[in-house]
Amino acid sequence: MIFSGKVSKRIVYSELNVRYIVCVFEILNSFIWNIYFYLTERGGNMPKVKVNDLEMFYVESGQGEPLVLIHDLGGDHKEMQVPVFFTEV
Amino acid sequence: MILVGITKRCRFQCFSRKFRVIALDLRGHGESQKVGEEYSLPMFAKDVVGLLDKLKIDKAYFCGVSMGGAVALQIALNYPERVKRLVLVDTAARISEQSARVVSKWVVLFQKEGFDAYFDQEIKDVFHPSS
Repeated sequence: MIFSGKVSKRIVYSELNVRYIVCVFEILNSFIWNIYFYLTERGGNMPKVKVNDLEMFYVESGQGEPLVLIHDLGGDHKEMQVPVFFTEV
Repeated sequence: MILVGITKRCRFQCFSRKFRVIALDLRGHGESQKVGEEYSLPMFAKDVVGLLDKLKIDKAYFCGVSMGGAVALQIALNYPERVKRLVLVDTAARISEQSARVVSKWVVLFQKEGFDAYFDQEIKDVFHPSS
């Protein structure tokens, strides 16, 4: 009986440890990715260009074929920068 | 195999691994300048294509959400040579007369009585009374 008690305790401790490590890893991971994306974002602080009769704001990132994201009524570019649920196939 | 997960990274950043992503503010929205009173879809389309001209981009993929989808469709109509692919999210090519009537009612309410009156009316029009 004493033996089984010890084992269960050991399992509880190890589970806690794993969760703690995963949490710390997730926080660090998101932190590092955010810094990486912040540094790789091109265009400077205020990327505004004169288009037709107005000063137009945009943000730009990545390389490859151009992809333009257009927001909805009353929204802005930040709408495209919120976290989303996604599925990977 | 299908994995379902949550990402802390956004659409913008996800796409930027494979594409040169450009997220813009249309006129009167976000940090872009507010010029004039009345805006139209051809006007927005012209602005987006103008931005492409400034960035020296010939052809692009367009992803539009809601009204942005309508803008993307307008670009495809007016400037088909600039469009490589269209991604249309939660949008429509045509708005029914009933919806147009409801929305124009909101606009009038907003102009006359301000945001709160408009918002109450929108909640009443959009959601079922029991919710």
